[in-house]
Amino acid sequence: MDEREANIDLLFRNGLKDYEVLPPQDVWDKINPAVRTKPYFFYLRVAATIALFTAIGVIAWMLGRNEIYENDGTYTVLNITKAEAVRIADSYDPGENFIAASSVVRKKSIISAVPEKAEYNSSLIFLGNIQPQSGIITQPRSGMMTIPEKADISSVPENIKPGSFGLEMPESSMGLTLPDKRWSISAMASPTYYSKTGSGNEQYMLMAATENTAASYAGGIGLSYRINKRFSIQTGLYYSSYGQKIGGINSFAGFSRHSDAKGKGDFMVMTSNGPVQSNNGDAFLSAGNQPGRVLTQYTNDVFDPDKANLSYVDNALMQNFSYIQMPLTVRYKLLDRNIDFNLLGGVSYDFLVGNTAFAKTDGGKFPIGSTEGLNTLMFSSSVGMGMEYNFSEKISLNLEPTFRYFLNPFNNAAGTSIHPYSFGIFSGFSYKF
Amino acid sequence: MHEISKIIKGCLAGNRRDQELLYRRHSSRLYAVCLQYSGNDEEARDILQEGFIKIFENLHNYKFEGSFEGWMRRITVNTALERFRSRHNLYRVDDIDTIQEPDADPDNTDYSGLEAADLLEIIRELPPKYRMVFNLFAIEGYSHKEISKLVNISEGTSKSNLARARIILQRRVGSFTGLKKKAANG
Repeated sequence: MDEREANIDLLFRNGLKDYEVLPPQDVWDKINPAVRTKPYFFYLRVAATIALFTAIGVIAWMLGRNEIYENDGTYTVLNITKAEAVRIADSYDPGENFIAASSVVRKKSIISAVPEKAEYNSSLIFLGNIQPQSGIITQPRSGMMTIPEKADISSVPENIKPGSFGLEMPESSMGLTLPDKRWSISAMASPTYYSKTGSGNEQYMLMAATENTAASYAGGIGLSYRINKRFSIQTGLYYSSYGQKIGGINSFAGFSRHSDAKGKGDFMVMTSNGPVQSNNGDAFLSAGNQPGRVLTQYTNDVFDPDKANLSYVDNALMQNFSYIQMPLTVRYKLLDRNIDFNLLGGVSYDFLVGNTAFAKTDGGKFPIGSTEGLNTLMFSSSVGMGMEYNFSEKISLNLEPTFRYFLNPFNNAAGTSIHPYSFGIFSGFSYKF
Repeated sequence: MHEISKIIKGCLAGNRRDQELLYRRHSSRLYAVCLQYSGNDEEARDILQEGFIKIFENLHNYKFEGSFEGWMRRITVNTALERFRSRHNLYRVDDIDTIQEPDADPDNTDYSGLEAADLLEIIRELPPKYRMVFNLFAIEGYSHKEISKLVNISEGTSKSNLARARIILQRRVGSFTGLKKKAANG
């Protein structure tokens, strides 16, 4: 290669490699609204959580299926707690007598064909007919029957056919029903991701573009009643706190000595949730590069906070909304194994109990005011799924990712329709009684 | 690298402050790249804007391997290439004589005194296709085979465009330094 040619390449490559030119100011103003604020990984986390729970549910179901003490082809498996399995001979010759023997297989029962003629030395509860080897209860009985000790086989009801299965109850619970704790009380909590869907005028869209979700959480106490093996219904009392951060709102302290209104609201900050009316006479607010965001007579050309020696607080305004929620939730048990897998859905009344706007200080809050025009009574719907691990007969650990959507608008402002939503993975304990 | 990872993670989490910080830190250097690839300031601005939007949209694809600035630069150059492909299909190759060369001194190889701003001004005077090929070959390090695919030309055209670009640049650099020396000597 001609040395001059290589030189010209090197000249430009080396000369330009670290060169910087300040771009025009308005380029960022055009990039800013176009960049997604919803965290990318939020959707990934939701999808991953759903996939994880689905996988756990499938695995739990598969494990439950395969927990068989012995399998010679005539056994099927049921998940019933606190019962001893009865292994009855799987074949017999007519006229022969059999004595039931019991074997315990964790909390599973083993079933086998019930011979037509047998002598039983314990109480048996017949729960239905099954297809051998299918694992499916085809005609579950709604109640149960017991056979007295050492009863003659003739006392077995006629409709109990070979192929029925039985469970031997522990002696101490003879004559009693299966353990049936229908009530439970639970305590659950979760950090939540909060955002909102909404439509509105152009001003609303511009404001929403500069607002981000802030720390949000929910938790509370629930009371549940089990209607049957699959369905339960739950209510309770929950507390939720949702936060939002509006960037670019500068706040200063020390304004009270300059203000004529003395705390009656010299400033109004326009946000997509509604206008924030200041009621702290010591607070001075300005919106920097967002014209029309802060409404006040104390504009930059009238009042300079730096010249007035006001103390700078922060460059963002925080909004916080707290609700007391009274949900009504239906829970459907999809899988009933060592780890239960539930689907849940419901509605809730949500009462607005807290509405604050503030600026953050080092370790504290500088109060500004509150957001106006909010609906004090909200209705929300929720869907979710849950895992329930039973530590014991009474106590279980719950994990429930739940999505909540507010059905009525958040704010009464004309021209906008804002519906908040939240997602959280609730964890906690429940106690059955 | 630790600090940039924090900023990137903040950007991915939707933190506006981190997004703006990332922009403020890197926009000057990338804007210089945009100017290098464009013929006018308005086009450079558009490339920067589109490029940064793509950077933020694809930030989750950055695997923290290699230089982050290099990754952003590649996106910016690709953005410039897309605009070029859609707009510059019809430039003639043989427009070498359109360049005015007052006091040309092609044998002057003394490039001292040339600043980055001068180099940028000179390269921007190139016809678009020569400028694109020179940038991709001499600055970005692509081969002619790669350039032929990127710019939709044959390898032969890429080589001849590069040769012509070099001649023009040498002449312009020569006359530029000559003019500067003249001005310095009064």
